[in-house]
Amino acid sequence: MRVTYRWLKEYVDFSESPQELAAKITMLGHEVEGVEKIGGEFTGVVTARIESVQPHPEADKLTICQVFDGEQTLQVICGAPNTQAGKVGAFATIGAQLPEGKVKKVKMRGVESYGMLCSKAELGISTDHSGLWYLPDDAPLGRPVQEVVELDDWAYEIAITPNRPDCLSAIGLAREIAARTGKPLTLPEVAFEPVGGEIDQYMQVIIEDPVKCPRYTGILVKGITIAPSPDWMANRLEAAGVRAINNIVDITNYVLLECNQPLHAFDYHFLADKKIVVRRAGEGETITTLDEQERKLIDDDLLICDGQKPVALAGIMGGLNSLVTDETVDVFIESAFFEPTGIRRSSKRIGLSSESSYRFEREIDRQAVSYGLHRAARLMEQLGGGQVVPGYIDEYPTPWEAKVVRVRPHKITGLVGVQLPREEIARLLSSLEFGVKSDGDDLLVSVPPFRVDVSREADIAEEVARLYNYDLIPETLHKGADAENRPWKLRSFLRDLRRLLVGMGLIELNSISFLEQKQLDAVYAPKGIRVANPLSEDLSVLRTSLLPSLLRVFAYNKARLVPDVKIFEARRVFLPKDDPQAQPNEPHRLGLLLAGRRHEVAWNLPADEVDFFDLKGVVEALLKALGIGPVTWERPADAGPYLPGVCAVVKFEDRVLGTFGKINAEVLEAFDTAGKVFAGELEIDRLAELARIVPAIEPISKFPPIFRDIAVLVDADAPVDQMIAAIKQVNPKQIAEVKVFDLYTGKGVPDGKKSVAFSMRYQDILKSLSDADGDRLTGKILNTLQHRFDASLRE
Amino acid sequence: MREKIEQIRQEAIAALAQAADLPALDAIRVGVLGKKGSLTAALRGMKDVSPEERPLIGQLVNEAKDAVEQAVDLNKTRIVRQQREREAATERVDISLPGRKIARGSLHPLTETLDEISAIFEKMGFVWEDGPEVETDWHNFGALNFPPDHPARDEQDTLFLENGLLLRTHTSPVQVRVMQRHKPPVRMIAPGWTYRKDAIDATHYPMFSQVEGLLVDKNVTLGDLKGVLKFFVREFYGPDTEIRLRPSFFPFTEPSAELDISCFACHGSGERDGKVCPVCKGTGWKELLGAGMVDPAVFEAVGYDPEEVTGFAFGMGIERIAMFRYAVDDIRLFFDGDLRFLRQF
Repeated sequence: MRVTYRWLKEYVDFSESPQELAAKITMLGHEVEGVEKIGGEFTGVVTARIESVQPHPEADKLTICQVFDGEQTLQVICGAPNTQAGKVGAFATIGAQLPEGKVKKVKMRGVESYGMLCSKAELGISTDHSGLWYLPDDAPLGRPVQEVVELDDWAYEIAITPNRPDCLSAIGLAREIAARTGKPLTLPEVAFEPVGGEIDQYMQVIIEDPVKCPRYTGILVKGITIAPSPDWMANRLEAAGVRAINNIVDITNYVLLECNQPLHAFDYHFLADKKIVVRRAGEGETITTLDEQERKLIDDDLLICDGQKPVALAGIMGGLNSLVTDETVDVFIESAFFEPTGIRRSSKRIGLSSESSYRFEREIDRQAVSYGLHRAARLMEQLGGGQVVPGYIDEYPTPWEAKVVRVRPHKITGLVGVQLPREEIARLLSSLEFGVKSDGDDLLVSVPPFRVDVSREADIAEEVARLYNYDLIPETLHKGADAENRPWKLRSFLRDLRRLLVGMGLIELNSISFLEQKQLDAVYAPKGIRVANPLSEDLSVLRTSLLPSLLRVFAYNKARLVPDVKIFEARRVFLPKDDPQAQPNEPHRLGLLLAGRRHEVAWNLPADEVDFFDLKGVVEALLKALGIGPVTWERPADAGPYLPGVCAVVKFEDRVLGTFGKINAEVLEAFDTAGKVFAGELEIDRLAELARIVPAIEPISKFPPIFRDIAVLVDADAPVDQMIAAIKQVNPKQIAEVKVFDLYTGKGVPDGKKSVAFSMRYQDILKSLSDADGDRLTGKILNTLQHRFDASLRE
Repeated sequence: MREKIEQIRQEAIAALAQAADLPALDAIRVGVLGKKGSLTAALRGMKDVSPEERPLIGQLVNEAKDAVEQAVDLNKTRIVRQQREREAATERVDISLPGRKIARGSLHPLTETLDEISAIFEKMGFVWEDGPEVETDWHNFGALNFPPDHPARDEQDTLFLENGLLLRTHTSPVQVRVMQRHKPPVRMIAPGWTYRKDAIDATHYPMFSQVEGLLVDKNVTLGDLKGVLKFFVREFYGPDTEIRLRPSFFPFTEPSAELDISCFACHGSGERDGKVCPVCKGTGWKELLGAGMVDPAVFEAVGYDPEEVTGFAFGMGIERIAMFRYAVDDIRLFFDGDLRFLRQF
């Protein structure tokens, strides 16, 4: 909503400066988002009287004027057609700063000019180029024009919340300012016609659907002359962001902005049978709106028709067949109230929104419908030279009744947190034009018709708090009982998980939850749920896997020559259920991706690239930190996006915790990238369920350890994790630790075999172990490995 | 004899003082005190000493032995110290070289911001709650007092799913779910991802995060809302930050408000370096969040009695807060996954 400072001042004589007023409007709940200085952006222009006008000897169109500014008489050359001795004009002295530039002494066709008499356009006040701008004849001379005429103004851009359609108008905002400042609100005086009378001979209105159209008023103005609007109106419309067209159209727009009453002006002679019928559209019926678009309608849409044809799409836009043109002489003005949700449905469905529909769908003041009608009619008489046909039409089958709200003052003060006496509550409400009566301890508050948002005690509480001023409410901390402590366990778990991964050198991502189905297909992920109205095709499906997002980020960074990528994302995926209407499962997943160099480039670090075991290491470290184990590692039956030989499923007691591995080159290609990329996903919800963040501690032995190393030859695919487990199993009390310290294939190792070197720490909690004990344990271990894995000692 | 012992003793002590390293020291020690050492030999010469003199000589030899041993210890300490000093003087690295890189990841800036915000509310006894991102129309709108076909829905341009559900446009449906599950009192925050059909540009993204707050109990007032929010603002933005509560509208709160804080760039003056403050555009205030007293219609929808309890709710967008916190001028940076950006946190 745009309105100007001076426009508002027409209704309330406030004393606030433009900035002060803006702050007050904001604190009333109508946020002033911008204040723009308009008009009067010039200096050095003073009032001066034209003493004489002589023709220029060398130019037909120029005159030589003698201009008196109260102190001296100056010679000025003027090109305007309306120079007239005795008039007071706006005189730009030499050095004056005008919107178009600085005024200098010039010589025109041999005659010197000491300044310039200005038109409004030259001063940037309006677009009126027609001639000099004259001020009142009795204006004091030699004074800055801004002091004599109030030219400068400030346009406010105000955000009106959807519950306050009444404030989509100058009068609505003025009413709020009046309540806040305590100054009276003065509305333009409008003389009303009686209902009925002569108008009935010219027009008949039939409302066929009084639910969709509870009120319809009309008036006829005859003999108008279409002309441009006067400056004051054109300027205000312009400041409000509405283009001036002609006096009749401008008046309907002006009244809409002033009173929040949408109007429609019909050329009376295009209305067949002297009749207006308000009815629902037939299924498939069409109307061409004044933007020259043909609109196809359904039964839910409402039409304004004459005796034969639709002439307007009710509340949204007029028809092309009945609009006011330059030849229009007689105007029938419509001012009506349409049911809000119906207008909104039609406007949304047709995809056509207007200043009118915007207001109707928020609900206008149905009691003020006739005021807007008469305001427009009187302006048409005044500015269009028309004559109102006596009487007006007012079809209003069910009169409005004021809502009355029972208000318990203690409930108001209880909600707001300020002790306000009953009288103060009543005073605040009265200033907003609420009717207030006492009823025992309670107040009976009747809601004024323009306040369509108020119907309950809580709404009244807001009015009281708002007018009392939110800023004055003291700050307190609620002292009630603490809420039952039921923290969402996953939250602190996610917090821990993220920090663990950051500690391992991974960078956290948050990527968008939507992507394209083909990206999910590329990683063998399930079909995602489609967005019905996506922003674009590549944001049309809810992701069922984090892998595509991780791969996209890898490709993005690699393309920018950042090939070393260690990232994770801990987010939800959306897995459809069997019942497609049901809310999907939204498990949290942990996506991991490693690619590029293992270490940063450094003078003292190796330049190796990451491999499968870097990723497995991250998973192991995570599981260890979370206290989850022992886990098993299996090759999946179906490798999906991974290389079959380089991927693993990690399980705890047959429950899958996640899958990870080296990404297949074909998959990478689908993301327009390539390289050695290791990635995977873990099920966070399952990890959270299994996590034992407080670890089970083993006692420390006070006896010394013995260390033994062995290397064995086994089949190349013998599972090392099972070998480790088997070694420990030989004597869990004495074999404290087993590590793999070397893995070798190649020269000296037969094909199909590998050499695995284990380092054992033997240590007993109860006694000191001897070398002989150590040898005995090593012997048993070798036996076991030989027996179970066909291992032979490698000398 | 006596002179000889004295001579051995003095020569040994002098030699020890000259010893350059531990082997040399040891050689001198062995030369004097060893089995074939000079003092040992002297002791063996005792048999030639008259019986009367023997105790005296014996005492002399023992004294000499003690003195030499003492000198050995003394010089050992000296030599070790000298050696360490020499070593310390020679061991030298180029301290201008970079240290060995320790891998360091980084938390996402939104995570950091969210964690800090939530920690403040946790101090005040607010507990974490959560709800689904795919919601029903009823939870996202209906229960929150958005009537069907109401323009208030336009403020939140919704992404609908083909199965008739929608992506939540705010975290407020969590309020509804929590109140349906639990009896009052409720004191919760619910951070989470939300979605709106906003075309992507420097300040808009179709996915963003919010923190929702809700406190429901007997006798909760608008003043309590101000108190809680002021505590939060001063913890997060510093103790000098001022707040301003301004009337506004949300369908699910009545009265409704927006909270402004004094501009953190110009400290509320509206001016910076003699110019209009670019952060608050000269107003001195920055809009932070929306809030209000829970609308009775919401209580009725979840089965609470609005005559028994009152409550307040608030919701804030994390991206905007993070953008100002880290002076990030393009929201897309949070979501593109550009490591040149993310690794700075």
